[in-house]
Amino acid sequence: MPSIQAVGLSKSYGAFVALDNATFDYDRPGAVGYLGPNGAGKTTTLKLFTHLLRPTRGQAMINGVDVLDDPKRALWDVGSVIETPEPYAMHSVREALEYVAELRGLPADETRRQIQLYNEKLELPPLDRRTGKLSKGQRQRVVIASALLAEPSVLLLDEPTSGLDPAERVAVRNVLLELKKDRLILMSSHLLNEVTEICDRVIFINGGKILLQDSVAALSERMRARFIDVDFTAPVAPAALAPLSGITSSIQPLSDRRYRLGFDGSDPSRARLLAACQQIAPVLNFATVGSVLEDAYLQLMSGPSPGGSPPPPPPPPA
Amino acid sequence: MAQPVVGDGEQFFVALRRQLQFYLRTWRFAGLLAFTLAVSLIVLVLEVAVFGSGAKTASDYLAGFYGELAVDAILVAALLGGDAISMDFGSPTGYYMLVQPVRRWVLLLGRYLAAFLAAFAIGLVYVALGVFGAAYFFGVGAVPFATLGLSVGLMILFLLGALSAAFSFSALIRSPAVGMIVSVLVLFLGFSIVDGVFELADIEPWFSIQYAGQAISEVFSSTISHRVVLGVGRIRVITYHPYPAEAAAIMLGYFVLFLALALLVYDRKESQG
Repeated sequence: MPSIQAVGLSKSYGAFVALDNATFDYDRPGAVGYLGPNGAGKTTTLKLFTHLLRPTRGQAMINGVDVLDDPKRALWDVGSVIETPEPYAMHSVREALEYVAELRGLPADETRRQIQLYNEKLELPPLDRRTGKLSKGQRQRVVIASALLAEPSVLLLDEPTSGLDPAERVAVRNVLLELKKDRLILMSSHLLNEVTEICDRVIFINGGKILLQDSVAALSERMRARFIDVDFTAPVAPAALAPLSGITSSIQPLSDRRYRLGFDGSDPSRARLLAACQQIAPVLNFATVGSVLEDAYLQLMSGPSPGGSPPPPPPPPA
Repeated sequence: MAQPVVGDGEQFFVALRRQLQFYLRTWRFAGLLAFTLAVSLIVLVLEVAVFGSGAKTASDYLAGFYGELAVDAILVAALLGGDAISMDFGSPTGYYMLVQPVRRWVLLLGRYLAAFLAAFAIGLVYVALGVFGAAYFFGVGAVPFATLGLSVGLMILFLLGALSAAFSFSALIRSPAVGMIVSVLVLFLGFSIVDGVFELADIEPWFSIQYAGQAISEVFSSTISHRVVLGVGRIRVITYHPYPAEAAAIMLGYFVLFLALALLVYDRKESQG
């Protein structure tokens, strides 16, 4: 039985189709990144899984229970952060967390222990402070803690690090990396590097349609970076790069020491390029441009044929 | 991992306790309590220190003192219940509560009872000051406690009915602030105008909860004239006064019908924000 399963899941508002026949299933453990531009249908999907919306067609199932048929039982083993939730402003941080823990049947001593645990891991704001007086980042950490308190086996997170500063993001990322070892995390995000670090699998969605589902490893294999930036320790004239001509598809000077080299993306070509560059001058830096997910994202969001032909090279920066 | 599933009853009491905690800390509750205290204390002080009670019996006194209790109660109900449901769909609070594994009707009933208890606490302050005034002017022994019990019982039904109406308005309106304003306008001003128009036309406004609310104070009268005609010649002013049983039936009708409507809408409503 999959931890989460969408079967022909669709949501329409009149003629507007927010989600069109989404079908996927994932089991724990692991983390699935849900990627797409604003308005693609990511939040709609997560809202359908958390009973905030009702599907027009299809089913959202969690641990084998249809969310529409029995939302309480379906959501019992689920922690979620959808949009930007706010606890009651008049409740303190501790009370907001206790409220959730009590609804989920956590004994009082377990609740205290869990609050203490996530207070340390997420560096929660002072527990006696009213949530109405918290900053956006503080409130988001409280909300994330509330989703984790009961140790659910499924986590549905809608841009969970939105509004967090870099240090807070690192703290949340570390918690998620630990949790994904024995749970399933489905998280939407705009931060491709965050998804790359946390997720094993990705779903790309746009215009309400799922364009591609794959593992990050398989994507890496299919969508290799096709540009490398090389930095030499000293200025190198373009004419001196002639030995690279048989390996590179293009050479673009970025400065007198830095060049962008196009190639076929394969590991042997990369190794030959590095060796050839080192023969021209000492190499200070040799790094691929962009990331696998970035390339896939850009290709899928701009092109009509997902998962087919190899992706075009990313545009060089201005 | 997950705990055994908690029953609806247990979750209801959790919701009730936490919602009551929330209501008792709001500025709304503090403001309504202060308003009720101020109005009833001013009346009481003026009676004690300046004008005297002007009543012949403790019952007459209480009929006068509680004359505005229904108005106060309707304001309290409208302001406490007017955003009860819209707060989950017109503000980010809903994303915190509605994703929890709890049936919506359990959350709503917990919130409803919490709002009722907060409103009842304010109403009791009004009632208590009235009893104090009656005891001051006529002695404790003269206070008609049996009738007082009937009056408080009607006040409870009235609060339940008015809160149900306010909850259902808030279910139909997205903005919490607008929900409260609409509740006040409809329950307080709207019914006052409609009741007056119907009575001018010599039609009993049996459908109005504000009309039924008159019974809270009128039960202290020795006899209730259901239809009263005042005036001379062709100029007549007709007023209707509900019997206690009729008033209770109207309040009960509001309680059941509007709470059912609120529950239905809350259960079906989507977070489309």
